[in-house]
Amino acid sequence: MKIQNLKLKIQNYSPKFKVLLYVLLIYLTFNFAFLAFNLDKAEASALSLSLDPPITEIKAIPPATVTSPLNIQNKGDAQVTLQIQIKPFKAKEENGELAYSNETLEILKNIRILDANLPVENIIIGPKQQKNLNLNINIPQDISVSDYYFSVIFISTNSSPIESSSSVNQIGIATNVLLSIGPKEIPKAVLEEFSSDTFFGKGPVPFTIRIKNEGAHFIEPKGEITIKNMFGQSIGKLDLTEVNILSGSTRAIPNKNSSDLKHPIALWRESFLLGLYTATINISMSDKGPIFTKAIYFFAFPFQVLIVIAVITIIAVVVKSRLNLYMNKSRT
Amino acid sequence: MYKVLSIKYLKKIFFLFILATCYLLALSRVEGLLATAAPTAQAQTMSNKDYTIKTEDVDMTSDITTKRDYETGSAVDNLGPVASGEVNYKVKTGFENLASAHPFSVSLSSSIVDFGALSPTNPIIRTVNLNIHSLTTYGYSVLVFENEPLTTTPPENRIIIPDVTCDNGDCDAQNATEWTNSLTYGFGYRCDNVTGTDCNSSFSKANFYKHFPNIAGNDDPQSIMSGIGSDNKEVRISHKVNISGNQAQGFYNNVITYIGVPNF
Repeated sequence: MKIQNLKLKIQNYSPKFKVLLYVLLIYLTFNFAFLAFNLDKAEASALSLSLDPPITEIKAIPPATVTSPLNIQNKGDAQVTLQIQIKPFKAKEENGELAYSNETLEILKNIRILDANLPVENIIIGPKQQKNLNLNINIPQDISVSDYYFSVIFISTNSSPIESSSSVNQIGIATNVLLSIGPKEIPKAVLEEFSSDTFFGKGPVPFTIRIKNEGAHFIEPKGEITIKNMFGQSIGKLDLTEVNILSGSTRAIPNKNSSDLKHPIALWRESFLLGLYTATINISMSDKGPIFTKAIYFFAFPFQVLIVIAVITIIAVVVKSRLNLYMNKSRT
Repeated sequence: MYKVLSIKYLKKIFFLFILATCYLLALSRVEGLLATAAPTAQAQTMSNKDYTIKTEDVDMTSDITTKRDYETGSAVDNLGPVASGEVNYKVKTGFENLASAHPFSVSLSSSIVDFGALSPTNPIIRTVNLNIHSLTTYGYSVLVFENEPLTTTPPENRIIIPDVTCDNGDCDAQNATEWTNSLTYGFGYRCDNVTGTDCNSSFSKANFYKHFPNIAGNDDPQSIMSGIGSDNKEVRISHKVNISGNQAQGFYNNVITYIGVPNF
């Protein structure tokens, strides 16, 4: 009886409400399907990772067990499984870029990533979640005194086969570790280059600084360039970026706020230059030296400005003489 | 009478439905917010057999704690590198003037590049966007490689779409050259700047492509983008595939890995 009443009710609906009812039913069905069967699982999702710190510098005397924090965050909207890899690297160029090598370092077997004090090779991180891990290095007594450079890399492992031709994208993020084993020693380094052009029409003035590390351990030189004019007044100072120079490599050193990765230079942003200038570099290879000092000279003459002034002067003289002539003519 | 009542009834259903949808949306948003808020506690722990040091990111000024047997510095947002030292080792983390509140991060817009159905001499180009957020003044690079060329699935009867060598046959994993001819077959990629100018300079000319370094073939990973500075950098990576009429039908797949690497 009730069902018959309901049928009667539906038959009494206007066509507009019937359409609305059908749309509503279809929408609800889709909603249910998506919620119940989680259809969006097959969709591609964005991947986003962040890692802190970007670098860890360790100086140790064996035996030692070193622990340092690593914080990784999944900034994406889907859960990710990350595989942890440890790869040795060496300097690729003179700008701090690295190249991974396939050599097998003895120390690698003593490096572990700890999650809640348990070694892990894979981790699972939920969306927007962060994981606090620890880098653990066990340095035995008998290890050779040397430097070891390696990256800890977290790589997502996607396996989303779909029924078509495709490339599955994986994303990875690395943090670098500079491990220096052995007693502290006076750095062996050479200031290979401190140079600039000898003549400038105008600024800015670029300086090239290259230091070669011939020692067994990485170094982090601290230095500055002082610029004086021909009267001996100090008119400029450039603080150099404290960069790491790996053992056996050469690195070009930029000043702070440098924006050129491919050609690191120290740039003195002075536009108007006139006369003879002296640029002196003072750079210390460590807190206990050695300190390198070198002075170079460059000359600047603003030809363009001079030409403009000359042209204006000539025009002024011509106008003045013409005016004088005109005035003299008008008087007579 | 029935009609009026049923209209009212329908309106109520519709209102409840809208209310339920809003509730579900709000719930999912709250869950997202909770998930975002949860990891904000960023305690850092350094330990040795003799001691444990914990530093926490809290809103206060830089401080240095000194004790008899160790010295450690912690800073708000780690504006200076954190250093800890004991008798036999010393650890320094982070770069100078680099805030850990904005760590080095890398993002990819999609986990899959779906080429769909491949048809001969009909090149297919699919793009993904790669974003780097790096506050480091030391620079970064993004390395890329493939596990193998596009290969049939399942791989029992292994057939590949070869990596492209471009129109003149000269492009490889390192050098890019032009690829416009629809009779040039293979799989390759190019990089276009969206924000910044960090794409590898070999892609400066339009329609210049390379192929991904093949790790199975002992190729070294190659830098697809690199740069320096504090801004967000974004590039668009175009994956291009073109097959010949002789290419066997099937689904071809491979895995491409992008690794964001800070400079040292």
